[in-house]
Amino acid sequence: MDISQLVFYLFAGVAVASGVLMITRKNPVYSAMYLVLTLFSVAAIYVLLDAHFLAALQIVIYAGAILVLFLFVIMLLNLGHDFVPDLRGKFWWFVGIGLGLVLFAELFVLARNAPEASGPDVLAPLLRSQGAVGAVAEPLFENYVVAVEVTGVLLLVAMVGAVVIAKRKV
Amino acid sequence: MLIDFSNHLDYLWALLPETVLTAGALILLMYDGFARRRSSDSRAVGWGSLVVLSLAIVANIWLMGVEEASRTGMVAIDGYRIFTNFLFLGAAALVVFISFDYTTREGMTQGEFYALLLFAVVGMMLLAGSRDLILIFLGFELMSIAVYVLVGFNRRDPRSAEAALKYFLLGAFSSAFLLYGMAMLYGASGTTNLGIMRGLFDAGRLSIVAIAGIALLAIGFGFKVSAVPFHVWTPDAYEGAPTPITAFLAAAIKASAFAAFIRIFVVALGDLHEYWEGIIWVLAMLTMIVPNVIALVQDNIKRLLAYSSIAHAGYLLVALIAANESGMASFLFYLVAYTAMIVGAFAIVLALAGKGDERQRLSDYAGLGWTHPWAAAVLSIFLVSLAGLPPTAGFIGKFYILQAAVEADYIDLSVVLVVTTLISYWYYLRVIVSMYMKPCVAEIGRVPWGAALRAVLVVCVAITVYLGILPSWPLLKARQSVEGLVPVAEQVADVRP
Repeated sequence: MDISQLVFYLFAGVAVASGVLMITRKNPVYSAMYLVLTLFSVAAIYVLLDAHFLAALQIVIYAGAILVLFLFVIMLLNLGHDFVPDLRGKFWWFVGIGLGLVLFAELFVLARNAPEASGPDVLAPLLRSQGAVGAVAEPLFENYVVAVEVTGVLLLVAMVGAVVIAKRKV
Repeated sequence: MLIDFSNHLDYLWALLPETVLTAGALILLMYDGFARRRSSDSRAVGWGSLVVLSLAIVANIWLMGVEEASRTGMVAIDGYRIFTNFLFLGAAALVVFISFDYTTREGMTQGEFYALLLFAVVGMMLLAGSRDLILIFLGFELMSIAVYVLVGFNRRDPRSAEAALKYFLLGAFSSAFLLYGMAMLYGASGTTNLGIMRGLFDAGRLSIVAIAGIALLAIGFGFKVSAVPFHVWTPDAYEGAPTPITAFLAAAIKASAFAAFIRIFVVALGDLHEYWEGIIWVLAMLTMIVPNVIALVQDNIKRLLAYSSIAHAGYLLVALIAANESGMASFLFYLVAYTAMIVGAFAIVLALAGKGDERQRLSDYAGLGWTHPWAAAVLSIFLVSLAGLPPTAGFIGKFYILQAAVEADYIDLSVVLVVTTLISYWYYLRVIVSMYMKPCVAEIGRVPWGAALRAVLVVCVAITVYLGILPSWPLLKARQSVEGLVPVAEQVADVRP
């Protein structure tokens, strides 16, 4: 096991553990904090994959901007005082555990049938020739330019929709 | 003109109708931002949206003369896309027409209504015309987000908010299924392009990842086209939404989801027919039987039409599973017929409901044949057509679907289709009986029939009757549009035991 594998398992473990902690905390502020930790660990895994630019984006956008938004919403809604458990009664606990087991079995089957790591490393030469930003930007604005434009329209529609629903005298 | 997708600028030409619609919707939004909140301004935006829609139709006609160099671009330029584009644009125009009076009556005079409607149409056209999973998903979301807002547009009405919330939650949930399915197909094939994907899957030995992807996609699409058992959101969403939007939901949105369903399953995964026919068979069976039975006891006309719309999704699933050219041609034909009759029926419901959408119960329709003979007669035509009685479009549509199913050797589904159609006569005819043979309970009084609404009714009746009497030319067009789309019809016949 070389050092990069060790680093991978370290960050993957932290990501999974803080993911679990995030959904089990009762205080939403703690949940948000654990989400930051998860996102940071995933960013570290991006670095291991030589996707430095993606890692930077991950930290700036998700761990930075979006998380601040979450905290604002939690603060404004004044959440985190009274809790009602989602699972009431034993029956639903069993249903939940059963569903979890099914998902776990699916994961197991998928992992067993996952294709082997494919051939030579294609990413490294690409990164050398184009740099980390170019490797992201070029497909984004050439092959997937239509998808990028449609995403722009999609975000605009979501914004217009939010304004229509929220900012109107009834 | 020849489009070569290796030159990325050519996408602009290939997407001309969508571009026109988006630009028009943006201009309308800008105009609305500076307009005052009056009903005349809202009407101006409505007329503007009709202009934009007709420009897009012109662009779509221009697209008919365009050739594509290869069949692997992100966007398809084929008869299927052009046909469905016409359908969506036409349906949207009908919905805009019936919205004029409704928005004034219910005080929903925000111009965003029409802009969002246009954006939803952009989403639908991308959905039906894309050959790439990423674009299909983005089209889905674009359409859905615009429609979630439209369903909840009437904020004075708590039913509208409830419908929007239910539709939003289940829609987001089903999008996750779709996305997982697409991710797995991508993982199994290494491409998101449907044209390339087709050649990569080997029907003999398919990886379990691909099978999981197909299953998840089927579930996601099941939600989107409201197939049983994923239909529970439909009656609530249809009942609570503003009535023009209900017509839009029932006609265009279901049609676009089905169009993408067919493009992915029949065109891209056509060689894997044996893998997905089982799940679609069950969906089709349940979707024909369950809603037709539940509809028997419905007392609210909008809910009744909602269940009828679910049942029609079942009939369309039969056309899908047949996976041959007749199936797809009958699918397109049925969509046109269904759009005309369901929009027409909802237009009548909308006008009769009166301010605040009060009159929606079947008992409100008692005696309508004598107090409002024209409305009752026109509604009867649509109901008869939905039921599938000759000489209407519904009969011919069902006939061709049956033919396609028998051609593909699905005798069991054909029998169920016929039997459930017979069951459905009961609840369609119940409305007609109550209109003509029951005494009037509560006087409806004068109903304002605006010119736009009358025009829509005339168009819908004309299409319904025309397709029922002279179906050969439209069917020929439908058949020409799907030509070459499914080179699998023969192979499927070999694969089936």
